Formats: sequence, structure tokens, C-alpha cells
Amino acid sequence: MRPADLALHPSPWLKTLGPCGDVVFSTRIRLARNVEGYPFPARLKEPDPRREFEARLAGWLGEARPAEDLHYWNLDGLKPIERLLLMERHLISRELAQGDGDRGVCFSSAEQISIMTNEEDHLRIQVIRPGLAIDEALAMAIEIDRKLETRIPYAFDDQLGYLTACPTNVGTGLRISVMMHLPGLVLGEQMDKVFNAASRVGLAVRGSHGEGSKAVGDVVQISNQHTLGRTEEEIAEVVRAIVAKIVDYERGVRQHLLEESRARVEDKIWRSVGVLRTARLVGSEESQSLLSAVRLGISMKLYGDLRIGDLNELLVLTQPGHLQAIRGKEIRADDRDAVRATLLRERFKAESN
Amino acid sequence: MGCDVCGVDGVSVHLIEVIDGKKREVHLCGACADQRGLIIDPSALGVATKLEEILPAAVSDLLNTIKKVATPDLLCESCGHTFADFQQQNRLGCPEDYQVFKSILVGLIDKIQKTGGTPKHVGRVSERALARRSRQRRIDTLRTDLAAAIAEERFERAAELRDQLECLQKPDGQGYETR
Ligand SMILES: [Zn+2]
Ligand SMILES: [Zn+2]
Repeated sequence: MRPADLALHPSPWLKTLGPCGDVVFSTRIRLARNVEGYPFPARLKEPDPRREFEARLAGWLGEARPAEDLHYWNLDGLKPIERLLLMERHLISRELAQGDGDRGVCFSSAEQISIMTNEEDHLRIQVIRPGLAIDEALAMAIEIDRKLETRIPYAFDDQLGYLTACPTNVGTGLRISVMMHLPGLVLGEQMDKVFNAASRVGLAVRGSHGEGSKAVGDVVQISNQHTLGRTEEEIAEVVRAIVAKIVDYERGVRQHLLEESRARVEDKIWRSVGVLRTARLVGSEESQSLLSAVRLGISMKLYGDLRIGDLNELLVLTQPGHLQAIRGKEIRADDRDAVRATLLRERFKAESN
Repeated sequence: MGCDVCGVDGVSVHLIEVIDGKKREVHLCGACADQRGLIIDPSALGVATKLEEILPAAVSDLLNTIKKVATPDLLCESCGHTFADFQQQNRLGCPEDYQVFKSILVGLIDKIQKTGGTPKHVGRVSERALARRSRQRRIDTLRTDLAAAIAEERFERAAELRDQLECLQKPDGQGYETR
């Protein structure tokens, strides 16, 4: 299998509507692990020691067989577009996509498991699941961790736990990130509630939204900042509680908008559909903003030609790496906007007569 | 409004980060946001690196505050990383650095991780560490027994216990996990 084969289909799990899928895109668990007796990747000299160590990691992964049906790719041999594609599918981080030298990814066909090698740490075990599914994702990650440990001598300290290249990850090495879609709270200008709820318990909130439209993406990521001095379950409990609260806020605001400002919401959604059906040039940012509005419309039952899973797929397929990988060549940014618009027109026309 | 990075007018992306309860807004123009992958890799579904990118800022703030007490030329013999390297890169060189720099790191980690004075891992423990601990417990018991046997002049028993101890303490001995 080559990366171009991946480009033809979005990640299989994207279409699945997970728990709280109207508000939560996905739950991601990451465990950072390192091997005793080896420098961290940034200190592993290129090319030879790094190459040998990458081969050793790949060998261990093959022996430990932490999951069925795994593919391993050394990123050094991939083209930039292919690496971008893997990044857009969340199989690798930006750091790994844009780095140099021997480094790799080992991922399952279902694309819910990916193990990055020689990223900031020797190993980064990642599990991603649709919707809000912290327990399931954490259990999967721990199972993989156990299997890897049968082959790999982890660096571990009795006082500090799993040792990592950056002290912000030391201890459990656990990062839980929940990606949320909060168009209601953005529209209702109530994002402060999210920041307040999260910061009170030491969680990080990151979001991006554009000026003017105030709606580019409406996506926010909630993650734990502290990895030491709490058990995995305690960390999960804090994230779980806050995310549940934010889900309630968001649903409440959507209901409220529907009752109090139905025309305004409908107008926003149908204007977005109108642009998606007709526009000849759509930028990356604009497309996310429009798709976000439609996703909201589906969850409010104001638009029914597509399902939420379709929108999750479109949000990925319209990204630059996918647009280019599907066509198998580089496309200039300006031309991409035309390609993106064509893709969106087809999707919105086909379903709506 | 100007871009926080290049100063150009026409900010198109606003990021709000909350770290330790402090909210910080970052305003970027399209080009700078693009460069950071904030547009090409947008929002949708969980990207590994975003959080990691902001956390080191918190680390470097803390590092600056402890610069005076630190010894920049403290060196890890295994990998060649100095404490100055750590201050510069916000990253350690190898797992052993945690031992070499422990006296300074412990306080720093306590602040970063908010562990209330004493950083102590309470999460899952690696299998090897568990094996190491149980081996240590067996060594401790054998030592106590050995001392008792000697005190009671049961020399045959003492010789047996000593053999067992030596075997356990050998790097490739029974109960010692080899790599
Ligand atoms: Zn700029
Ligand atoms: Zn070192």
C-alpha cells in the first residue's frame, strides 16, 4: 500500500457517528514512550545511529505485533504531499510530517491506531476514536503499550514515571485530546463558558476562528496539560467531566437558537449551502466555515441531504494534502481553490437534486 | 489589527490559548497562520502537535526564572547534553538526563506539572520497573535473613543465603531482566 491509495478514501472511522457525535468529532489518546539507553530522537546523530535505531524500532514493532493489520512506513522515503496527507488523516503529527531524517509511522488499516517512531520521543502511541470515547481509546492505547513492552525496554523512573524528551510529558506520558465542534457557542457568543470551565481544572483549550465570520471551523480542542502526579484514570475523569459539561452547554445553546432565532440560523445554514453549491473558488478557511454551518444545520435537523459523517469526511477531503494526493500531483494554492470548489459543488449538487 | 508575528495588517486567525488558567490571544495573518499549519491543517479532527507547540513556551518561562540557580555546564556523560542545552532547547538529551539533572529538574517539574511540592508518579508502572522492584524486595529480605543467620551462628544457612543474594545481584542472574 502507498499513501496515494489512502487518498482515495477518507479514514474509515470518520463516517461513524460516535457518542456525542453532534458535538464531538473525535477523542485522541497519546502515550509518549522512550527506550532506555538511547538518546532522544533530536540527539540521535544522523544519518547512521538514527537510521539504525529507526530500523530497530520498526523491528520491535514487527515482533511485538501490538495490533492486527499494521503498516509501517519510513517517512524519509515519502513525498511532502504524502506526508501532508498522513497528517491530515491524523496518523502523524505536524512535527513528524515536517521533520527530517529517519522517522516512521506504523498504523492500522482502520486508521484508529498509529505509532509514530522518532518523533519528539522514540515512540508515540496514538489511538483515535470517533465521538467522545475516552475510556475505549485509553483501554486500546494501554493494551498496545503492554504489547510493546514485551519487546521494548522502556525508560522509566520510580519517582518520575515514563521519561520523555520534554518534561511536560513525563509521568504517564498521557495526553487526552477531545476535538469539539461548537458552532452554537460561537454563534451565541458564549465561548467564555468553555474557557472558564476548562481552565479551572487545568485543561488547555485551543481553538481557531476567523475574524468577521467568527466561524472558521468552530472547532476547539480540549486536552490535559499535566501528566504527572495523577493516575491515567484521574486525568481521564477531569477531561470527561468538562467535555460532558461543554456538550451540554452546546446542545442547550443550539436548542435556544432554534427556539429564539430560527430564521437567523436557517439563513446562515442555507446561505452556506448556496455558496457550496455554486461557488467556483473556495479557500481552505472558507470551506471549513461553510461546512461547519452545514454540520450545525444537520444536527439541528434543518438540513437533511447529507449526514454528519459526510461532513466529517468533507472537512478532511477538502484539505490541501488530500486535494493534491487524489490528483497525484502538486497543485498551486490558487488552483486548489478551484479544485476544492468543484469537489464541493459535486457533493452538494448530487445529494440535493 | 496587526499580525503578532510579522505585524502585517489583516489578521485572519485568532487563537486563544488557556494555560494554567491564563488566557492568551494570538492574532495571525493568513500567511503566518498557514506557515504554522493552522490553516492547511485546520481544526477538524485532532492534530497531535498543537498542544505541544504551546507547552514549551511555559517551560521556557520557567527555565528563565531558574537560570540563576542552574549550573549550565552540568553534563550527561551518556549523550553529551548539558543543562545549557536543555535551557536552550527545552528538551532533554536522553532518559539518563533525568538522573544527572535531577536536583534541578525536580523543582522545575513540580512547577510545570503542578504536583504541589513533590513530583511523584502515581500512574501505571512499566513491567520492567515492577520486576526491578520485586527483585529489590527479594534482595532486601535475603539481606535481613542473612544478617539474622549470621547473628544466630547458623553458618550453613548463611552461606546458602549469600549464594542466592549473589545470584540475584549478578547483572545476568536469575530474576534480572536482560535487554
Ligand atoms: Zn503575519
Ligand atoms: Zn543524556
